Amino acid sequence: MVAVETRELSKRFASRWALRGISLSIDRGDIVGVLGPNGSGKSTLLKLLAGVQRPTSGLISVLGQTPGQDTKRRSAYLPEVDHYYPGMTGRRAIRFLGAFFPGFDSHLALRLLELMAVSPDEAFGSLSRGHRARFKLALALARQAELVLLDEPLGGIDVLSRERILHAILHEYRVGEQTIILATHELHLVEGLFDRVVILKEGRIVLAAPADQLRSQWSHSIEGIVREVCA
Amino acid sequence: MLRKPFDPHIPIYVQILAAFQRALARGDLTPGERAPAVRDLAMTLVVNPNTILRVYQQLEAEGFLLTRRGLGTFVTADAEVLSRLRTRLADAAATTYLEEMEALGFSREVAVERLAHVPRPVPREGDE
Repeated sequence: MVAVETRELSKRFASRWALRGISLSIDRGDIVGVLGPNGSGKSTLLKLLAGVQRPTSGLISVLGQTPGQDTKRRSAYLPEVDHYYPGMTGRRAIRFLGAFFPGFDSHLALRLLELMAVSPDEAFGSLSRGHRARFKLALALARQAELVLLDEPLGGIDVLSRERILHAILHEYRVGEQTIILATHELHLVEGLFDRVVILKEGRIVLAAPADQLRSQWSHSIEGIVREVCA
Repeated sequence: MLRKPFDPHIPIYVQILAAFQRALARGDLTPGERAPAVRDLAMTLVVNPNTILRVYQQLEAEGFLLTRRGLGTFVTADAEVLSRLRTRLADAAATTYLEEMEALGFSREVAVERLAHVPRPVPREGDE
């Protein structure tokens, strides 16, 4: 079953094309890496899938529908920017989200904060960058959504936070049911996570294939392949 | 089971499959023993659980593992099957050696004799 499908998807901001002619198909249950340097269109692609922005042209189908209220309810989107108020504690954020999303699992959210060693009583704004990333991820995963869209969940954070975050993702990932799309430009420690990768450069797909197939064809790491095709 | 981190240049599936087969051949996992749960192993190795599942499916197809519904995955209780695996892997390693020696121009007899004189590798720092 297909979780996400796009046909000739394009997005223009003023005079700049952020995405051009993206056609891809992502199977349900896969963990997919959207890779490429900064400015290659990764965040824009995730925003279009999340339904927070609309395409300039082309078609998108998310969980069998055009992105909208229903797909927003069935997917969890973790934006790259910090989207919680600085004064909000984990506990309050959990209550807040529970009111919005029927499937939100408050107990799981608390467990995930604990798993990632984040105090639920500390304000978001007073956490370190790595802990803010953990906080955001715990709340996104607690949605238990069919589709999880993670935009740079590991951006510029310490190795320990990275490990905690990867463990939390693997801990909660429902094999065969949940689809995870993870955009990142840093591949350290993350390579092993992906069933497939989609490599973007200047808004276009340069390579899209199963990760192990690429390693086998190129005799190279995914990190090395991205460097090569995006050079 | 996996002592070294992955070589990212080689398909991860291939590396985990090979490591698992070695673990079975060495007896790190014994006949009838329960194999690690897919999620646990995925978290330990920080790899996609789907990759572990594919490895388990392959090992099942080869008769080394069997899945009992609701109970988990177990190593075959048939010690003979594991012993054959051990022989197969040893033969493969020996063949690789002999082929390399042949490529260097050594006869099979010299290659076999040479084995007794190979110096033991000096353990490096960080090795077990």
